[in-house]
Amino acid sequence: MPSMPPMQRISRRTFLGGGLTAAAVTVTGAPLLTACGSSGADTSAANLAVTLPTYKRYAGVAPDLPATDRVLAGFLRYPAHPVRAISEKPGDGKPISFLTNIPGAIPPAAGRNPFWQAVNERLGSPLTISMASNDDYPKKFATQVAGGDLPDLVNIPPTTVELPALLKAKCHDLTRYLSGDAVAKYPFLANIPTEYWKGCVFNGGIYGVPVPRGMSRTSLPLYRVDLLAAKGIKRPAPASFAEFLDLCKEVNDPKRHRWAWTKPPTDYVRQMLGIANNWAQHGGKFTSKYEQEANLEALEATRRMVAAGVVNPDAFSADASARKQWFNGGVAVFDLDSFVAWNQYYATNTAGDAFAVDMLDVPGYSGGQGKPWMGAALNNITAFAKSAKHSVETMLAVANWMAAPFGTEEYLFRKYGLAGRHYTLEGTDPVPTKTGVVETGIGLQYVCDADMALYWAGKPDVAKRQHAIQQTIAPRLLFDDSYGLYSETMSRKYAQLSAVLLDVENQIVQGRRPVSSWKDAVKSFLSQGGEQMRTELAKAHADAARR
Amino acid sequence: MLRAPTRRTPGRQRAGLLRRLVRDRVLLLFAVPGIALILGFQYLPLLGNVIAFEDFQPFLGIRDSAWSGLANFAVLVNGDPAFLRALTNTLVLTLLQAVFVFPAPILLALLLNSLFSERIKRIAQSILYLPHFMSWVIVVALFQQMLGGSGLLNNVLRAHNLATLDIIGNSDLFRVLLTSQVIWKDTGWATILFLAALSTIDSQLYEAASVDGAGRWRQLWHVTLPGLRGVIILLFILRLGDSLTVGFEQIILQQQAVGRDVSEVLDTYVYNNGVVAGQWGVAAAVGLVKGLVGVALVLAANKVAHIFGEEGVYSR
Repeated sequence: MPSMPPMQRISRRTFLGGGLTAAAVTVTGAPLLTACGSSGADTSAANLAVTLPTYKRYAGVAPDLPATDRVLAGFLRYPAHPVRAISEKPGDGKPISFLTNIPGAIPPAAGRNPFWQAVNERLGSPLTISMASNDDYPKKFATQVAGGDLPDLVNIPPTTVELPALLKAKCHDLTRYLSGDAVAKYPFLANIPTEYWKGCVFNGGIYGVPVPRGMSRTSLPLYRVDLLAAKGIKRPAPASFAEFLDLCKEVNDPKRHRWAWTKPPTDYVRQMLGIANNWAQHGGKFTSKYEQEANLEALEATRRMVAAGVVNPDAFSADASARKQWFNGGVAVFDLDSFVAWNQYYATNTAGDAFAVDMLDVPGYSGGQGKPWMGAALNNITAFAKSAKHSVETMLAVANWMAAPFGTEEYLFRKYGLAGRHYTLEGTDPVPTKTGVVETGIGLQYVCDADMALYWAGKPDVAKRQHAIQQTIAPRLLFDDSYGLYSETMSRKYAQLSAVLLDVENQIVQGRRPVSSWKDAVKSFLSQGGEQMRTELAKAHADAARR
Repeated sequence: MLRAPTRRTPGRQRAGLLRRLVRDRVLLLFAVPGIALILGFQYLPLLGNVIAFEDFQPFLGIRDSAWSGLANFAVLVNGDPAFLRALTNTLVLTLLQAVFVFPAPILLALLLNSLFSERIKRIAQSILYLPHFMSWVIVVALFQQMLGGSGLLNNVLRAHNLATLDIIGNSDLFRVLLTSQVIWKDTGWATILFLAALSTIDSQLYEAASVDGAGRWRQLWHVTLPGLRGVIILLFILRLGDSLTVGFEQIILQQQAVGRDVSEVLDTYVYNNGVVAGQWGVAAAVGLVKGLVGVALVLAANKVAHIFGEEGVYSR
């Protein structure tokens, strides 16, 4: 039986006035048909029945800084003789279209972009890529779907509304190509750890290839080492919120157009208080990060930060790209972001050679240790549209090419482009040129990607610092317990409801709403879908435990 | 939209339809592309409103989405706080715009009209038109750069150890800010129609009035304003038609900072719940009702205009 979403209750209606009364009567009189989405109960069991692709590690180069199941492998130098791992061109000669977000500046179009042209040449199929900034992508994606205009390869954000139904209607089921040992045909897809494939399972099948993030997406305060050093602060390690606030005040200097923060770091304070990473599961019962009592403390603390003036006063109106410019330009000293962003900051650095970034650990709110949140497992999944005029094998071969890991010649080309134009070799390190950064930013990493390798060409310190902080936080990481579990209500309503909560949070930390109003917001979150999500997650969890 | 009053010639009324069609064939031919455009891009898309009665999923399309009857309209009557908030904010902004934005170009046109030097008038007009051609993104960014927390004004204040002003992103001032932005951007442009109407007022009327001893104020009251009355009423009725459209782009660009409590209006509600959060059916239902209310307002206002003996948007 298909599950039915709860019907709208008309009984507690309030009339707006005479004109609408008639409409109200008609509404009550009409049969309320609700959609039959993908069936909840069966789906969760069917998803669990899927045999995930067999993980087969690609024996590449040995890292200088070893990986664990949480910490990423680090490299101080690029391997001297990168191996060309794929001999055949994966493309079929016909153009392949791709829709994606890109984190950086809009690159020159294919006609004026030698990197893009080289990619087309090496793929054996011209790639037509349509791009939107990170901020705008979910909206662009939604409109594109609404227009019925899907490209061949679709970068789909995991938060997409009604994702399972969308995939079922529009995209290829890849199970028979990837499940179990079948994936061995695509060695670099087989090199993606099983954990990431969990997020690609919908409707009882594998519906996409993952763009893995996890640890590389773990977000903590990034700070400008050079700017702190100028204030005489070396290796800051605040031991509590109070010390952290003092540090922020110390580096804050609005008169010289410099603030401590690009945005209020509410989620960082939440981590100090040990609040759940999205959903926490204890004994089969799920708790949302929003409903935990400690949120009031987190909001109050962040409100105090904003009131103290340590957050850029335009933080609430700015978008992500503006905040990145502030950090690069020294208008802000701290930004709450990930290891991926850390590298990006080096790529777009405009502050010269002294520029250096490091990351803060999470202290407990009033001392001790905080609980850092493990980054979301996936940036997106890439699905293959049924409308594509390519065989599934071709599209998988392209994804496979995009997933060739660090150390291979493919990786070197994908990330750094052509020697001479896009990078200059210093020893074995491909140091990107300004042209390289702009022209290579066409979003290839979102077709498919290998696990991130900690490495920055020519600056071995970067990888060392990244590896060190990962080792420090690894044992204390909190995971999102809802990952890979199916909840119909979450897929339908989470985007809408969490946007409402974020809006309330913004108003609270700006001091325009009392902290206590958070409770009401959470109450309506729970009644409008939160409780339902909890129940569905618990059921999916129980299903998983039974297997 | 503007047109000269239609003259009713009895002969034309009596002529047979076919004869008239034949007689006007060239004119009708000229009208065909325009009519096709309106049908294709205005009327045909109206059919898409059927998604208001469906649990619409864009990837399934109109045909395959499940029919849900009037369920989507429940939000209009069940006291949903998010909808009520959007409705209230819309009405407040509509009122503010009617009171402050609508009369602004009339005042400006009168002011410009009273300038003696044609040269200064031209220059002033050109400068005042300009902001109309900037997109809202630019206008919002300009305001941000000037008045924002780290903008020009506050930087100067900070440099002189003065208290900073919290203007942009301040939810208490948001309505004032919105209204000021609209006035800054569009007042100059909107004066064009009023200036045109002013130029049609017979100068003999002014001469006669001054012979009768009327001063400038009395001339304004008894000659200028009556001359503008038709245009003012016409524009007011047209404005009523989209009075519930209070500036989608302008608001969505500034919504994040001030929060939905003061900034969510019907249009942003439709966008946030439809395009962004995937509740297409509900969003379409709200949009549809908004459109119907607009039509009703125009019809009602036109009726009132007729009762007071004015031409209105169209005549009976």
